[in-house]
Amino acid sequence: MKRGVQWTIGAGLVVAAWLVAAVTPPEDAREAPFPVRAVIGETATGRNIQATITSVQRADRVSTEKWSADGNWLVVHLAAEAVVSEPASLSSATLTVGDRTFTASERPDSFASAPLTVGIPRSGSLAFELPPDLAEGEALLTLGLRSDPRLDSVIELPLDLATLPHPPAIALYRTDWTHP
Amino acid sequence: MTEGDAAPQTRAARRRTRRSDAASEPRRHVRWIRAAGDRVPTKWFAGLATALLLASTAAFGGLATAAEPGPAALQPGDEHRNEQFAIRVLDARLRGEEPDAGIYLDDGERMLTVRAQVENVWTQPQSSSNLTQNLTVDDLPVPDSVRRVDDTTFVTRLQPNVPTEVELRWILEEGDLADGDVLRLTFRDLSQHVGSFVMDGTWWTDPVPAATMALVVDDASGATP
Amino acid sequence: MTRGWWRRNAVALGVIAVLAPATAVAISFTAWRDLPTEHRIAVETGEAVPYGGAEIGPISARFDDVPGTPRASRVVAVRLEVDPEDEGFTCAVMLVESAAPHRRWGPSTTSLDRPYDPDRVTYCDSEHTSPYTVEHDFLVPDDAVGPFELELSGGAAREVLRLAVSP
Repeated sequence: MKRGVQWTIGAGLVVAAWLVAAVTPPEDAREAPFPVRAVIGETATGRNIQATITSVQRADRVSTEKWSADGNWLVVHLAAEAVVSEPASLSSATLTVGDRTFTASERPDSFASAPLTVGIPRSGSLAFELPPDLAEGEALLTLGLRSDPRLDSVIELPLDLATLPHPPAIALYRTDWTHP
Repeated sequence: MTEGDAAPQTRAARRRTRRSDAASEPRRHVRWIRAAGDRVPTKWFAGLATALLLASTAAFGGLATAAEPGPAALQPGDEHRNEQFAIRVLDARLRGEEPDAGIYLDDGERMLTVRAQVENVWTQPQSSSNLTQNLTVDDLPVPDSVRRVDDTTFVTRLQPNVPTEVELRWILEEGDLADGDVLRLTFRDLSQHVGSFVMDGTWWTDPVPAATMALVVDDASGATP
Repeated sequence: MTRGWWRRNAVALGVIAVLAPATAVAISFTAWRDLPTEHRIAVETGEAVPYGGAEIGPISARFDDVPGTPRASRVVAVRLEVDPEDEGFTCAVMLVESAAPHRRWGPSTTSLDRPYDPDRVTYCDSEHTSPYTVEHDFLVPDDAVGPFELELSGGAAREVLRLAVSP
């Protein structure tokens, strides 16, 4: 083969290798969860989790019947049920803002880790405690059945912190059947 | 190649003859380099290099390990910051039963509380066991519980960049500690280890003492033995 | 790879062409066979079968309305005869829909507000050694009309008993 042809083929293979590397998914993509995009007010259904997020708000004070606390809180009111099998519980509720991840606060009684019944929805609230100076930015709310979310469905809701309603105080719903 | 011994010269053979032609006739302007090179006592290089290395090592203090600076000594109220937490230890108190603060004791027991302002400076929520790996008290085991001061709930997770005042709590027998005793606290720095290949996840290992604090215990239980 | 090379190595290549896929098949088959499997024993209505050292069945079920349950839901109350044959018998139960999508419910017996009945046995009690009737309640949505199967597991190693039941 002529030198010119050899060099062209070699360069072409290098470019092809670069393209393959660019297109290859990252190492953890093979165990990534399956996201289901949610819209506020509408039901989103994953493999074994179905959730309807009714509202997302921020507040300077949250309270339950027996507890209250000041802070930079983000409150999610939602209803959720299992779809195909029990036992199931809302064990994963995270809010990702930039490179930081927050989990639903366990300080109040809330919907975090609540059991889910197949076909019968429950309602409740989640409260996230955020840094005092975090008031804007893109955030992603993720709900799942297990704290290790790999290889199962998760419900995702993108949020813009700056545009959320911001009442001074919010009372968290008690976890109960949606239609008692 | 078994075929064609009588075939015309291959490209490789032609390259070989070209190179040997060049070697037998060194050009004039490199000849003096060759001559000078022959004069250098290469046999002595190894010895010279060893002597130089030993001399410079001796000049820099020898082969013994240099003494590292010891951990810093902090005062109550000073902040210790590492990759996981920013901790500011405030005080240590011996207390009796206080239902309002969630302290319930049997007869003959006292509670030791070490109060600190803590901020999780990492990007993920961290558990109270991460905190107790970073802050230890000599001669005491892992705290019986870690609670928030404001609502006395157990600290399950500390969210990133949310400063919190917490209490590390130990239940002790009366007489184990007295007013004025000094606790030695050690602040440790851990390194992040990211799982790869067969392991998944991130965890903190390899604690290294980074600072110490001498903290005087204040007996606030009202019952001085 | 000249034509001469192929000719000289034809026999070896032929052997590889046969052995390589055969090895792959053999290894896969062994791995598949050694996978832990569940033995499913199906039981028709009205029958009793031995399982885990006890005689299980017959089974019956009915729809129940228990106060305090949410709207659009009802309770499937399952009665199962158990004869432990003088040995303690325990089991875990799930209610499974026979039709797709084969939804599964765990017992809700403890969370339902039934009036207290001391004679009612609500779980496979290993203390019983003579025949008894165990009652399990499952809270299901209205669109779960059956037929169902009661799945028992944990009795014997890797055996799962499925009893068909229609409320």
